[in-house]
Amino acid sequence: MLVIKDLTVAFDSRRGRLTAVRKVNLDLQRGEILGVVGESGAGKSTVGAAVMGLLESGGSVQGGQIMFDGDNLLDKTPDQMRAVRGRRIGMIFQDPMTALNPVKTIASQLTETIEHALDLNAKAARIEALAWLNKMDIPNAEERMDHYPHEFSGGQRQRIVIALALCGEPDLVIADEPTTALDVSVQAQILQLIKKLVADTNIGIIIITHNMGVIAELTDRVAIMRHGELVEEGLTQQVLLHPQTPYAQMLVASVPHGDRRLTRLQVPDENGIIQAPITYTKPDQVDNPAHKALFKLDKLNVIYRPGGGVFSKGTAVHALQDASFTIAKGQALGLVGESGSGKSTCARGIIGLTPISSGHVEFDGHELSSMSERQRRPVRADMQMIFQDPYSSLNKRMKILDIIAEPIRFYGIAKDRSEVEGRVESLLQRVGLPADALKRYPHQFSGGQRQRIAVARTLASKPKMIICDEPTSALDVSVQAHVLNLIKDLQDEYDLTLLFISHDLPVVRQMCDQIAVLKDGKIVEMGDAEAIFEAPQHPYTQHLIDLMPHMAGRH
Amino acid sequence: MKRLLQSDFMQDFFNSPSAMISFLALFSVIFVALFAPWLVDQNPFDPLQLDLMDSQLPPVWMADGDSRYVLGTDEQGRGVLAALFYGARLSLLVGLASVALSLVLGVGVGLIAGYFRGWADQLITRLADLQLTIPGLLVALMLAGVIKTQLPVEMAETVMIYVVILAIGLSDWPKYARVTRAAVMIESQEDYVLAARAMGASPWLILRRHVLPNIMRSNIVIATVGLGVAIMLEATLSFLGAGVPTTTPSLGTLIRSGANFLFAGEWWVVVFPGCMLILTVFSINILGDWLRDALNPKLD
Repeated sequence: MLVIKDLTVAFDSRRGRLTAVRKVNLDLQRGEILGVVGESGAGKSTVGAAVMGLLESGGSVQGGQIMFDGDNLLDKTPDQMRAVRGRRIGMIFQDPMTALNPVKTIASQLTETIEHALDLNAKAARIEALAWLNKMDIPNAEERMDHYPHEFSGGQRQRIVIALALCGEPDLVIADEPTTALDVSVQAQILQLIKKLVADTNIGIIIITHNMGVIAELTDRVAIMRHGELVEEGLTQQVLLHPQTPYAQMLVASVPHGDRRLTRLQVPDENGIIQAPITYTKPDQVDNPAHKALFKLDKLNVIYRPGGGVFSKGTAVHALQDASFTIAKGQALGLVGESGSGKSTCARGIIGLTPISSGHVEFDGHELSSMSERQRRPVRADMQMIFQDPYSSLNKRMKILDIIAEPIRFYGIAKDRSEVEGRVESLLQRVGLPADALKRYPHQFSGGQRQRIAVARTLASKPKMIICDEPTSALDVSVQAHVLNLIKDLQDEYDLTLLFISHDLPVVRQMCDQIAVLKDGKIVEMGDAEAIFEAPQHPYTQHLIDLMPHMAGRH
Repeated sequence: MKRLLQSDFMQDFFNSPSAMISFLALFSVIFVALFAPWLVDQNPFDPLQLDLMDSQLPPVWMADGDSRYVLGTDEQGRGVLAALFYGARLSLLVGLASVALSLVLGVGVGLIAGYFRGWADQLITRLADLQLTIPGLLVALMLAGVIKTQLPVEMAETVMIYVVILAIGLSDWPKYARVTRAAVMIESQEDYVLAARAMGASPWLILRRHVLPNIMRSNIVIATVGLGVAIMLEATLSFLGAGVPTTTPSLGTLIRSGANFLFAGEWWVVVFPGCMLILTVFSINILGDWLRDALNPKLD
């Protein structure tokens, strides 16, 4: 149905011309799901945008053909393309928050598309819209179709976005990261829904994603892209289990395993060859009395009052309820949960960024919750935090030297200028960055390098404990493996205690000795990580573990 | 220097003819203002150098023109060209000083409002809203006018210039406060601010070292446009008689005194200062517009 031949797309910027996609060949049959996977900058979204005729400004197709049922889409005028979009090709966008118009009811958004695409009158279009919402399992669809987008949950909104893409009865749907903004349980439902729709309606779908789990779960065939070129293409099972090219092998190997724990994640070395995995053997430190609890959380409660002002108090939201756990020195505890479960609130409460309502935080013999800011300051050096987004956690107006040196100067760790610089240099070296990084600014580094800089800053004050808040969820999968290994190395080297917060269970399995599962602000299950992964007790934990993507797929 | 010339910023500049022309125009105005004493023989602020015999001479290319006064003279024998150069000096000085004042004031209270929120934010925002309901000219006119009438005459001569700076500066701060407050609210949520807070840094340290450098970009753009507005405001105040005294004329004062002779046929006394004012403000505005595009963070 769709044949892309030698597609080349270039973008003009003030730094000159950049070829984003180079001679890419793809094809898609009816009833087939093709996955296009790659890391950021691979050009995968650009391929989708080129098919839709919606390239960002400055972009232009430099060569090749996009044949859709025998017509070359590149020869069509903008008016003709507008007729193709919606009626023949639908698009599902990444963010359900912005893909819907917030000031129109979902019924009017759906009927508008249906009237335009299927030439129906308003009444028939409304019936059709309702049918679609029912098909998407929106509860009480008839009542709720006159509601506005903000009245639906994120998962429901993404279903509405999918309904919007499909209601014009297109033959081809392009889904650009359709589940990236969603929680794992919602993601699983959406993927099931897409699968069912393809089986029912015989449409073809191109899924563009960076998530290998989504590819494994959903697609029939997969195309791996890198730097704008197609690296490998084939049946999903085949590519994921027996990748042929070195890059594909590396990409597949970098995905953290959910089914067993390794001492270090697999990463390619300089020759592009994958290191042999070392199977993890459980150290017997846990029972060692020398490793007593360094950190203890006792019935921590955090209550927010959003919307409160001078005249109103706002309604209370109990973000964290009676959270209690202990972490032994040198151990890693994983705090697991979906968005809104309170896991970041917990971290912020511990480190003092969010006021806690009640409870005790004990760290290294200090009772943090009752200390004044002045008393607490020296203790803060021992407990540092790595943030999720390395693009936001580094001040873009400061040089790397000043970023890493800030805690050193602040806590007065080094005596003079040369000692500060010496320490920063050795930290940079320790996290695997060249010494000339000192004089540069954050924007000159990639996401993975920035996260290394953030790790170096965290280490600068020689902490005993580090709180990692989703430290790799903003990173590409191969970069993630490197950063996780770095954190593991540092943990061993400095006997660091980790509180590791993540929604990504395979990552948690690789990193943590213990886990605590949070749901709606409460810890529902806690214990030895391996034991919980092997035999979860609480239904919610079972549900989460069941949803972990499996590389072999579920066909 | 070489790196600066090759930066995107400078590349942008050389690719924009309007930016280059207005920069050249503004540069000339600043140049003549700075070096006025070396460019013209007469100091128009010094009554001893004025000769009533030379009063009301037309520009040099007209009949009766005098080569010593290229653009003619006014009724006191003051050379229009000399008055123009010295006037530009005063106009730019008042403009820059009052913009600096409103920038410091606005950014300062904006930082407090945006970072601490709560009652301080409520107070500052309401105050800014209140002042924004009154036109800036009225605020400045009221301040300058009231203070001028309260001052003894001999003091007004020397102090009035500071009063004008204060009046214009106080009339324009809400703009900077609002922009700063909004930008600080966004930046405070960024992880690098949280990282500094987690380190235990005081609000003062966070605001100075982390937040301030990240919010100055938009402020500098409005300050550029604000400079044009401030110069216009000073000219208007002086034209209305609430500005600097006629003994030390700014462009606005020159236009005021020149306007009286416009219908007597002595057009040069008012037209040249007017052109100078237009040239200055216009090129500042064009540069400000260009700066806004060039510093647009999206294009980084």
